[in-house]
Amino acid sequence: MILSIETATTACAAGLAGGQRSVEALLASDRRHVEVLVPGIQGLLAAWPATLRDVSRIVVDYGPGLFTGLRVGVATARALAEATGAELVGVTSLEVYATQAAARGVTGAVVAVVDGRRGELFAQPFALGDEVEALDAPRVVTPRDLAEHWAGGASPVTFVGDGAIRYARDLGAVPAATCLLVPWPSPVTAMAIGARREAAPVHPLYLREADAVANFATRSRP
Amino acid sequence: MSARRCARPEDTVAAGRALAAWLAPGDVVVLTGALGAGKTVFATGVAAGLGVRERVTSPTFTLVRPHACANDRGIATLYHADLYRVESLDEVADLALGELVEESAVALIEWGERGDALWGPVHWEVRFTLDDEVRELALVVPPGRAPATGWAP
Ligand SMILES: Nc1ncnc2c1ncn2[C@@H]1O[C@H](COP(=O)(O)OP(=O)(O)O)[C@@H](O)[C@H]1O
Ligand SMILES: [Mg+2]
Repeated sequence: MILSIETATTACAAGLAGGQRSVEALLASDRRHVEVLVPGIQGLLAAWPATLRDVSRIVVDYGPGLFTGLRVGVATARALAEATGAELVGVTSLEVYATQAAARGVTGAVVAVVDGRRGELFAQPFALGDEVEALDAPRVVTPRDLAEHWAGGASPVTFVGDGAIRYARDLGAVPAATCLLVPWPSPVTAMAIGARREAAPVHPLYLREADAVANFATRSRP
Repeated sequence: MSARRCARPEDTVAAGRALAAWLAPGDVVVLTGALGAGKTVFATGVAAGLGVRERVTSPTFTLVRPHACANDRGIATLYHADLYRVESLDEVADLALGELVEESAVALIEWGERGDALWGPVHWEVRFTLDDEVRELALVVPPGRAPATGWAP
């Protein structure tokens, strides 16, 4: 069976899938990832009922998102994979949101948006048709710049994710825009994506790092 | 952006107190300037303005030090950080200062420009330049906040 771990937002969630069944649980919504994640996984397994030994694949959302959440989620996923021999698969918060939009019947242009804190969003555009196709890499943008970018186009666009809740005012002002209010990436959706993906090492995706590393390297010490 | 002239250490402390009056929970303040420019002296003024009782010293070796605050503006903690000795950006990211402050704290970060991309566009910056004893403190107010009236003549 598959275990899914979600910590990219202030919400902490987990899910299980096996046979024809899948479940997910919101473990806490107020950034208590450290405290609730492992007991929450144990609770889900007990309710199934199953044990960690039954888990053959672990799907973890590796970001972008809340730094303090992701390091708990990714470290836990890695440790569990190590301990059980389960395969480890990463999915991004943004592709999970886009896929959730697709599951709700949205088609066409979709921009997945995660609250990046400090007045910024992590955003990635997708085209939703038969597939969920990424049109560009994930980026750090201000809500205003993102809104401005999409205000130019005449065709409808859907913003989906927790970022669309926090910045509903900026993003909703875009003509022909819809904000789909999905508060956290769904573990069940993550498992649907992760079931078809090859196992690979997973590292948290912080997104600001690329910029920041360059910035760090170019600054010489006095 | 105008600079406030601080001729003596006491003036730099007073500048810190002045900034403290404008701070709100969630704020990040980046302090930039050479060694000895007065960043830590300024930090003692901010701390005093936020109601920190204990002594504030340079957190150079600990990277970040939390101070409990007593004020009526919902700022319960002042995180005083110094990135002078950090070797890699991972160390800065690991502090997660931008997220730590969100609920009810503010962060004051010496050499904060080393983690610039982590703070986002919404942060304060105080740029220190020194000319002998006189320090000039230029203040950059976060976008969307009231101008810092009275910071400099
Ligand atoms: N006008 C001034 N403002 C601040 N500090 C001053 C001033 N004039 C002299 N000093 C001295 O400069 C030093 C500043 O040190 P510090 O605040 O630790 O610098 P930094 O943290 O920027 O490295 C202190 O020893 C202080 O007494
Ligand atoms: Mg100092």
